[in-house]
Amino acid sequence: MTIYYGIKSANIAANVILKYFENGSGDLDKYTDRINTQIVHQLAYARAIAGLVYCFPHFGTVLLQRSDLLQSAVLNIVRGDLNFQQLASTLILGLPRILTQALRQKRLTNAQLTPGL
Amino acid sequence: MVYDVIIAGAGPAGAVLAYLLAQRGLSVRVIEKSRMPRYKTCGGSLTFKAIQNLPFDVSPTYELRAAGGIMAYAGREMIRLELECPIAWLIMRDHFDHYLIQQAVQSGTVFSDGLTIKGYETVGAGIKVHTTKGSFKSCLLVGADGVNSVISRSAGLLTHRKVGIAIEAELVVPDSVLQEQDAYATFDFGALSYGYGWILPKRDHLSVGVYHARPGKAANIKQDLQNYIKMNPVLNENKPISIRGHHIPLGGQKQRLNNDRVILVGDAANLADPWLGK
Repeated sequence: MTIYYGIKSANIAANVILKYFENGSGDLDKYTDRINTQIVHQLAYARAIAGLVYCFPHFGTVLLQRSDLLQSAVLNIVRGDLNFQQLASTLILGLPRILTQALRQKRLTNAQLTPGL
Repeated sequence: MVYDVIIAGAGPAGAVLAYLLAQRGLSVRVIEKSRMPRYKTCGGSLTFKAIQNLPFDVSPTYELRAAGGIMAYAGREMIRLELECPIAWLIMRDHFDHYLIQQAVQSGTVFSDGLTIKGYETVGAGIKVHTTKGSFKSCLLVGADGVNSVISRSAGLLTHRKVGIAIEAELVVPDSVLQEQDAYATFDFGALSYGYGWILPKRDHLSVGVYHARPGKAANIKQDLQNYIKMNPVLNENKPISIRGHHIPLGGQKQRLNNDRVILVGDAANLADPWLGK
């Protein structure tokens, strides 16, 4: 399942191992440091987002259905144009806009469904 | 012979690392327990960001280009997202992983499949890796052997590991169902609690699965998959050609991933996003 982080960790490992052999005996601890900085830090944000999404799955899906800001953010996270930290910021800072879009969309839908309006 | 690096596991992390090191002149041996190509439980969506991190072209492995995403809830389509720019390609992991290790071999990697690693020991300034068919020596050892990593256990690394679980069925469906799904990836967050279901189109079938992100609470994952298939009536009429499960490491906690001679990469290093299990 986890192709992207596998490939990214392989790239980081290759850099550290090549330095190790260039210097005769290098320091492999740099690998853990870099993984923590470049990957684990982001996954901690993903863990927090997972907690939110999985506690309120229907609410999250409806928001996604109605907010183009949220749609764009989710597509960008999959594509790699946003990282999880940036997604968390987008969710927090963009929450008023996401909720406004969701409410406006609901009113539009109700108006379309209600005869005479 | 003493190799510079022995890599346990020929998944994407192990194969790409082998390629990068062999390209730079290091002597590398990859040891894989399965015979390649081998089936692997995986939705098989290769994202744009993954492709950007690959050192060579993998387009021969593409089954389909994802045209968009369908967000559903409990089997009901909520929204269909169209993509203007490429976001992911759909692959089969048996073909994809085999292709990656072939590139590593072409760059000078020595590859042995069908060989199980039993453990390793530190010998002087190096490592001796014990397998079911003899031992091999190296300066460094990389554990790329997945979430149930033997190398991780032998090295005493990542002793506290949280895992989710995914289970997937490959479904042969009528052409009409394939055409209906088109090249859209479906994600359904109402498929089960604390997880999601997916339908990913492949060239001649559909991969249908569920992912459960809460460790230790996935006792009914097979039932969850059956329920998800039932939520989608067009799927329910078709018998799966295979059902396989797989643990997903849940990353996000800082833990040591190396010692003086050993490094863990990929799933062996617990590097998966706990939200989507990717």
